[in-house]
Amino acid sequence: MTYLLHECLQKSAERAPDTVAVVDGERSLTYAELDGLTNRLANLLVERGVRKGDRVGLYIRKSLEAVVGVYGILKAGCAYVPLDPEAPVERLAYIIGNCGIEHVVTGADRNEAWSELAARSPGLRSFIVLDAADPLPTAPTSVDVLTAAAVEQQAGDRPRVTVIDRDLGIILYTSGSTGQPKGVMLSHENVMNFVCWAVQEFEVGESDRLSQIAPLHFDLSTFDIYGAALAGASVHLAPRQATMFPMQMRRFLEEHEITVMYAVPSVLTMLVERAKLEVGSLPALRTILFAGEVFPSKFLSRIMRVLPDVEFANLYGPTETNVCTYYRVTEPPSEEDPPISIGAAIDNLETFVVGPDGSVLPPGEVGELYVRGASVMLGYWGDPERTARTRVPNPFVEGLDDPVYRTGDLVREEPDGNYTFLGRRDNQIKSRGYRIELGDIEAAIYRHPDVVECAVVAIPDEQITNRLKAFIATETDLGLHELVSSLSQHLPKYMIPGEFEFRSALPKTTTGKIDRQALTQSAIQENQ
Amino acid sequence: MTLSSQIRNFIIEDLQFPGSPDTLTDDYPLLEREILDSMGIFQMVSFLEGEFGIEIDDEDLLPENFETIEAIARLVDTKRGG
Repeated sequence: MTYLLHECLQKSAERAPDTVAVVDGERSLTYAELDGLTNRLANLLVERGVRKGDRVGLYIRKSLEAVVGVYGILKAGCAYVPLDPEAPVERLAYIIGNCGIEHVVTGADRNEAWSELAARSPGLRSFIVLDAADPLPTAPTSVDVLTAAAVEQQAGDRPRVTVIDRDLGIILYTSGSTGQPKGVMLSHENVMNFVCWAVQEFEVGESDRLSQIAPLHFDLSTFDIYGAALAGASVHLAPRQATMFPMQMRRFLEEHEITVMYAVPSVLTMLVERAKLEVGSLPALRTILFAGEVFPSKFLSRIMRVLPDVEFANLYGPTETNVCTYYRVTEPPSEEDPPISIGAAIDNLETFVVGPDGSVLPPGEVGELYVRGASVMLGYWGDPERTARTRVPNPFVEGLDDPVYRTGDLVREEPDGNYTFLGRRDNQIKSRGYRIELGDIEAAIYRHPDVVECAVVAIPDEQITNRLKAFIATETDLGLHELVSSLSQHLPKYMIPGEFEFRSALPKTTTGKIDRQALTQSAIQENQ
Repeated sequence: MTLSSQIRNFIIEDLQFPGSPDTLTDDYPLLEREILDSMGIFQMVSFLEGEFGIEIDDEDLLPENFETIEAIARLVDTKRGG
């Protein structure tokens, strides 16, 4: 049995030391090299004083070094916390303060932000720069900056730290409804429950070449990284801009002869619409997995027709449980069909549909999807109240410590046992696979002193699920440019609305609340 | 107005350039700094096609054609010339 995330790497390093583990463009590392480097990083972290359970930041663009960072942190008995390299410093400083990060593994190209991060984060003690051997001139003085040279000096044997599968492995921060992100705590067990299932279900083996497309702060990345390592396969990091340039994505898939690809539907839509694929393209590719948002039948059908030999599966689940249900798509749907099913529970998880009165609903009725089992997160970091609202005791069993997760997603079980996804219970939406709480954006807009009222609405969009539009009421002549500049201090780019409309006041419902429905309707009509 | 300044204005006005407009020079790294993201690229393409009467093929959708205002202007020039 493989219980721990870094055991996936260690076992492959013992079994097949010279097999390629990770490929980043022209550079690559074998399992033995990756295992050795990550031992050294772990030993450096231990020497720096980390203790088991500490949170270590990972502030680095996707690269070989980022993968070294992931495993090095885990081997030191710590949890890694991906810090989105593109997010504003203020948001990152919040995360660093929120979960008490003292050490950050980083890349030299992030150095512009170090000083500000250090100034905003009094608890920070070290930056470990994996891709620089020499001291950096721009380094802040309040925090120790260590380079790859310090990693090299460490011993290459495994640090003696006991880790079991209940231990915290990753914290992934996602959009929260109150204006601050919330940290989803995942144990080794949580992630391994999914990874082991996925490797078995999709028969990932040593000869496979997995793509790594999603950012590390996205739970999709866990399949690529740990799935490849568990199977002894290789993982290939997609160029950063491949998700924007379909021809570049195609080139990446071709050159690396990717066999298993896991991506959000909007990436696949771009690939089928703008990369000149034809039957016979991408001959190495055998499996496409998608997750993160609804895949419109039109584009799913097109990609399945142009890649007829590829198997397709829809994976569904929030970050809090990772993938909890899946559906194998065997035939291309009709272009007009409703979105395909999210399927049924993966191995070793139980799912059920619960009505407003708390009772389990029979097939055919609409209710909230609950998930039970080893994938259910440990909770939200430092927020037991919020945890208690969604990670609740199993209502159907008494006297057992058996948490279930309320997904907030509304589903219906069909006669064939598969679920249909019908929407959300709250204001959370998806755009390009990102999960976004509209309240989080509104809170950031309200931080500008001139804003009197605001509402952010989601406009359904065929290609990216939703587009965002903000309605703002202000009594000053607040300009778009000033507002956007202020927002980009607080929010990552994907959360900044693409459209803004300024009004003197926003419409209200009879109860005096901002009439979001009316605003959504007006935004949709305007776009037609 | 020059080609570059038309593109520059589009980035400031329609793509909501977050920094001070003075910093948006012709060699400003638009992709590196994520001024153009996956949505922005398509907005840019429809702007270029509408404004300059050119057609941008899927093969032209490559990072090297969009990394700076200069590169975009060069792409437009090539398309107009060809």
